[in-house]
Amino acid sequence: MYDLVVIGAGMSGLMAAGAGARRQKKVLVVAKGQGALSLSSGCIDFNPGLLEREEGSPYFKVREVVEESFNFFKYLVKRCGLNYVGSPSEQTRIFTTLGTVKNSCLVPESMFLENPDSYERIIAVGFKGYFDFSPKMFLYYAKKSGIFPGLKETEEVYFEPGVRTVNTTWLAQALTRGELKEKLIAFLKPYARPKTLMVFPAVLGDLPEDRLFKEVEEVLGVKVVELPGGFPSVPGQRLHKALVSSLKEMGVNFLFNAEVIGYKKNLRQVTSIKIKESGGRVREISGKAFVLATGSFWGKGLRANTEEICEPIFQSKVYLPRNFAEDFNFLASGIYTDEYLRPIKELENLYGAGSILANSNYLKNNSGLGLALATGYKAGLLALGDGEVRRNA
Amino acid sequence: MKKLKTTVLIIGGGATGTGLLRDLALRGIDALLVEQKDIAHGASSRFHGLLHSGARYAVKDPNAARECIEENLILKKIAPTCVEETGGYFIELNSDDPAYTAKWLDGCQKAGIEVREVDPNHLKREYPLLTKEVKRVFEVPDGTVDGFRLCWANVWQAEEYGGRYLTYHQLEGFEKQHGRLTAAKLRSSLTGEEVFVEFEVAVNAAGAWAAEVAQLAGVKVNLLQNKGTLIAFNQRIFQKVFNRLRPPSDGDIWVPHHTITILGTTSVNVDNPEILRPTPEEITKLLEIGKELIPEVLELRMLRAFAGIRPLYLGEESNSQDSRSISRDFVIIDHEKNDGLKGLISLVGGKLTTYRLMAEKTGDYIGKLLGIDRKSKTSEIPLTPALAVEEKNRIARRYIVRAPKIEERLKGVTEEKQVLCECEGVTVAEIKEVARWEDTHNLEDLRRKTRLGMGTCQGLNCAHRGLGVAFTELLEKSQEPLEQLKEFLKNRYAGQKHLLWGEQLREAELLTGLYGCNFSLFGGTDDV
Repeated sequence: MYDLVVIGAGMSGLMAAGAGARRQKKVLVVAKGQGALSLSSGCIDFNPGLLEREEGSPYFKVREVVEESFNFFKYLVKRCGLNYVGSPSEQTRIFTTLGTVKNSCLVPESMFLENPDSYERIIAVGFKGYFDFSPKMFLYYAKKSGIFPGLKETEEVYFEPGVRTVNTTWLAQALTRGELKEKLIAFLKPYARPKTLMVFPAVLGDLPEDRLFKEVEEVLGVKVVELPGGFPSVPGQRLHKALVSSLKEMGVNFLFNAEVIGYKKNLRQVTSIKIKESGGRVREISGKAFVLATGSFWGKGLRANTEEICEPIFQSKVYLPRNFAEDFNFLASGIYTDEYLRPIKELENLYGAGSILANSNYLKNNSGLGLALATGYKAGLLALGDGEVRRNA
Repeated sequence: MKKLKTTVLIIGGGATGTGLLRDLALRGIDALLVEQKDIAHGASSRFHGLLHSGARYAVKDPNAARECIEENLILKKIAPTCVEETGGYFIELNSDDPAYTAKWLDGCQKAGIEVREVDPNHLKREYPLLTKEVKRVFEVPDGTVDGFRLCWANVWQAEEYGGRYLTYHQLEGFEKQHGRLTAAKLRSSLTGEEVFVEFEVAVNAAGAWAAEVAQLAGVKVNLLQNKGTLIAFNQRIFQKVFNRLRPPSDGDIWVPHHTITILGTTSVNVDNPEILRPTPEEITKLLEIGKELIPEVLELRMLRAFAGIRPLYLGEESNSQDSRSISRDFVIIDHEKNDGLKGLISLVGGKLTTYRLMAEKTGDYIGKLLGIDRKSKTSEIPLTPALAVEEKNRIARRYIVRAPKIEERLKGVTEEKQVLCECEGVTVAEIKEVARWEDTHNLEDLRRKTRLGMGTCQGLNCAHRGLGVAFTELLEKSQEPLEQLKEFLKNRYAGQKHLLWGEQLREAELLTGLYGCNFSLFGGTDDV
């Protein structure tokens, strides 16, 4: 019997599990896939100003835990050597591979760009045969952005990894293993000068603990910044890996490739869920409380056919935004919850978290992962019957 | 202001206009084509892509049926890389009227369309998705045609024979002297530059916009704008064209194209050629009828829904009750005869399958007007090289006369061999080369020529990469590269938004998440 069973291993599910682990509870995470977390930019977007404009936003139910949950998140990933910079009350500007400027909140240290006005040179580092990053395009838009007022020169350079086809996954692994790293550093040496910023696509190591960007900084005496880009997203994968391994170390149990296909209840409580494992084996898992963090459409937390949208496990009531297709309004779809994040009145120990919640359009509120982080954490606390939290809510 | 002179001014860059440009150029008659957007942006690409065998018209319109089969055979001969000789099936279901089948067989025989009956069990084995209700099956020489490629093939060949063209030029008005049109005023929609073109004869080949062009000349062309909505599926469901064997109606044609299948069409009258939005009712109707052939149709992954406008000529009447009963024949209107206005001809109606014939007849007519007696060569001179196998000659098939430029690049730099758009197999060399061309003005033009982003991912992986790869080239265009990308994405979503359920909703969310959130190209702003 688990104290807490979390369904879904995206940002909100992992944070709910973390809240449980922090209180030394017996926690299990059941997940079918990886959800959207590993596809994210790795940045924790969070913008209270935009969230406050969204009527019925889950934000209003979790405000008081934002600070705490963000700090706990930083602690969790730092355990794996992945540092995040920023605080929930501030916006952080970063660049992407396209040269666009992205506003986020907590960002990986490797993307953080402090005092952009102090750089006189930018070296954009591309890889020959790698088409996910165009140094030329980046530099064109970086210059136009006005973010580098002290800029005197820019240069695009192309490192040759020495293989025919270069993809993101291969690069991220190869650059931190074997001799390629040394070659890269040697290649960049002639460009190392004071007041220089070197930008790379986010491929400087595939693991959370890889600190190749720091190594380049230290050896060459320049500032290094990684840029998030298309798929696969290495920073998203690092983030996912860091959270999972940190939670495992804290004693959280994981069951991957398992689909929840039903549940049992007794009076007003969910008592167990029925799961189907990858081999086809079906079994039951009992718990005292449950968190539903199965994500939105991509994560399959919500399922749409031509007639309706449903939440397939508990059949929670789903909010269907008006003008569904216009202006990406469909992103605000989700399950209704009460003030304690509970979707179903008759199931008092079931809590919802993350992008499955209604009235959270992450495109408009620019708060996707941030809100998932806070709602996940809060759902975890509520599920464990934390009286303090409940009174505050 | 730029001043140009031409003998014939062709207004409209669809199959009709480009076909005429080619016809005139091959006859050695000086012609300039002007197009408000990109080549083939209207009905010439917004249709099911069926190369009619004529069988569809066998009962209702024997004349059209005969024309179709003749042109079908000519196109297969002169433009083998723009058409695919898939063949087609006509399928009678248990619920269909057998008496119609008999009439149809008779009509096909009279029109000279070869029909072969096929064992329905064979079909059921080959296509497990197909309904069990199939009763009789007939094979006909239907094919498919790539509208973009065909129109560009016309333009590029015409160019080699001296034909000229201007895309993204909007017609703003005409000059008239003594009852004759003498010049046209145009404006570049990209740079705003004015262009003044003097001509002997202007040809209104503007398709769904023909009434508007006529109006600028002060005359009337009575057109019915009939919208047809279509759905593109993510896979080649059938290897041949599948037709229902019943009087032509909504949702009864399935056409395989490259890696996808198109189901069409509806038939709804609209009052403006810019109304290109499929409605939920049309989608529902298409899928309901689609279900009769594929019961599990809703489970199939769809890519996008889109609509095109058939311009149907109403003649002097304006009774527009049943658009399918109006002849889809083409008409050459000489406004001197109709309205006493010299120097303007309107071409209306017609089908893509017979576009060449329409151009030939119009070329004959213009030749007579100008006193130039030269025969059309369009049915003899090959439009594209004779290449049968898609895989081996993909570059040559796709880029026709311009293929050598790409082949040259592929021989050179090795990284350019890398495939950048995996769904459609587009290489870096193609993207860089096509981006360089003067008739490519943005990422959307590039997409239409290369098929970048037309497949399963709808640009998820290839749009940002394509932009980066061809950045130097695209920076030369009048529109900012990132703006080009935004427009590309806007148009992709415009096709996805009508089908937001199941897998395509998941994909739409992913596309929005990547470009809206990860790249911050649109969505949440920083104004807080």
